[in-house]
Amino acid sequence: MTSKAIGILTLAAGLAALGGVNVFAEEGGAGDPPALDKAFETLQTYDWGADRSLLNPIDEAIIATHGDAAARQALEAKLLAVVTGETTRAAKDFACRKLRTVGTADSVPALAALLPDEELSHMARFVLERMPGEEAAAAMRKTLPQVGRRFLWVFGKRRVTQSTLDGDLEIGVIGSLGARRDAKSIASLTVLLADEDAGVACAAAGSLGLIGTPAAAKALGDFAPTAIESLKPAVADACLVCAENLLADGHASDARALYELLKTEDQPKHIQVAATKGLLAVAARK
Amino acid sequence: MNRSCVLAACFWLMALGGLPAGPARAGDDELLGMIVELVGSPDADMRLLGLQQVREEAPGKAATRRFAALLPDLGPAVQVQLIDALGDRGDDTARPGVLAMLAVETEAVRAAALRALARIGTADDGPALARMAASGSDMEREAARGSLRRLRARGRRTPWSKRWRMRMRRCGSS
Repeated sequence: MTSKAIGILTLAAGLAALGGVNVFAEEGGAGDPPALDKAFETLQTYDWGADRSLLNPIDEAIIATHGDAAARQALEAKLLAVVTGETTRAAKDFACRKLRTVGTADSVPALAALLPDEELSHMARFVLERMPGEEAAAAMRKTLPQVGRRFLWVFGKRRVTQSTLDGDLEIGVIGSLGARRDAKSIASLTVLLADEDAGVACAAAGSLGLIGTPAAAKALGDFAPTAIESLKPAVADACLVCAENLLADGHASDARALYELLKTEDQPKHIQVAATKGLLAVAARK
Repeated sequence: MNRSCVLAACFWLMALGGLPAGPARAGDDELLGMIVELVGSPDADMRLLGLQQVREEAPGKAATRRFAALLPDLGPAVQVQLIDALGDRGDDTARPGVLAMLAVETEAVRAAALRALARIGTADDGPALARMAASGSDMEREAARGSLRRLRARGRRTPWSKRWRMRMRRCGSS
């Protein structure tokens, strides 16, 4: 084979490869547009038990748009339209699950509007809990009681607004803020420790434990001695989680203070043992 | 001495320099104090926590010596638990303390010491183990035989550190 022939073959191979790349480039971005449109059309009336494979183009589009911000934004807008539109619960559930992957701050207002919805609050939190950025946390925080600013204390009690959610929905949001380790929620969660609904108070304690900052530890440490009997196990558990997080983040002295609080004779034996183990971990970390 | 021997010597010096020599830090002293207190605790749950620490935490020979030094002052039941924990810890620094327990009155303590020798004993303990395997009580015989089996299995492979030292000696003589 002559060098000219080799050159021609190389050129042909290069062109073929470029052609292949081009094909993929066309396939990338929005996936297969007609199929995607059809899938979104199907999604409008989709219900559990229907053929799930008809929605596969949406999954494929999510994969295909990886790294393409504009295409992802277009996809997010379509999913948001499902979430906010007159569609079935199953469709909204599906769209929320996909938004967990492609959702950005643009989705936050629509998702926040679902938080008081008994049927969709959970799915909205499913997205907001993992969404990076402050907007998602702020939207959930807004539903909790808001603690008044310092200048209002001059007139006596702090001003505390009511939570905008009730019962289980509020507990869910509290849990999600804890899972996000949202330190800005500490003031609201501290107020909720004294909530008359034991479930809300337990959830607030648990979230403060997960947040695990020195401020959260102080809130739990101050509340623990005054907690009513039925709340004590949850508060002790939260203190242990908080102390573990503090220790992991390098706040050994704060962790020690919490463990010391739990090592006292009035605590159940298993809590005393756990606290002692925590103190050993603090000593080993020094 | 060739260059590889020099490099090997440097490696050993660095490795030995990096080894924890004992409880040099304040935290280690506090940790050891807590573990010692827990091992001697009258509360069974707290004692078990202390024994778990003996097994898994507070590394170093100085810590092992301090734990082994507790043995004579403890009651027989706790002695058995601590000997087992020291055996699991696997540091032969505890060997003299454990050997001393072979002379105590309580059979269960002697059996525990025989068991622990499987992990922290040396070939020098072979005759004593063989004697107990032949003439001890049922519990001692069983423990001594088990330790003899394990000691023999351990003796089949020379530890890498010993092999390395032997190689160093060969390098030095060539």
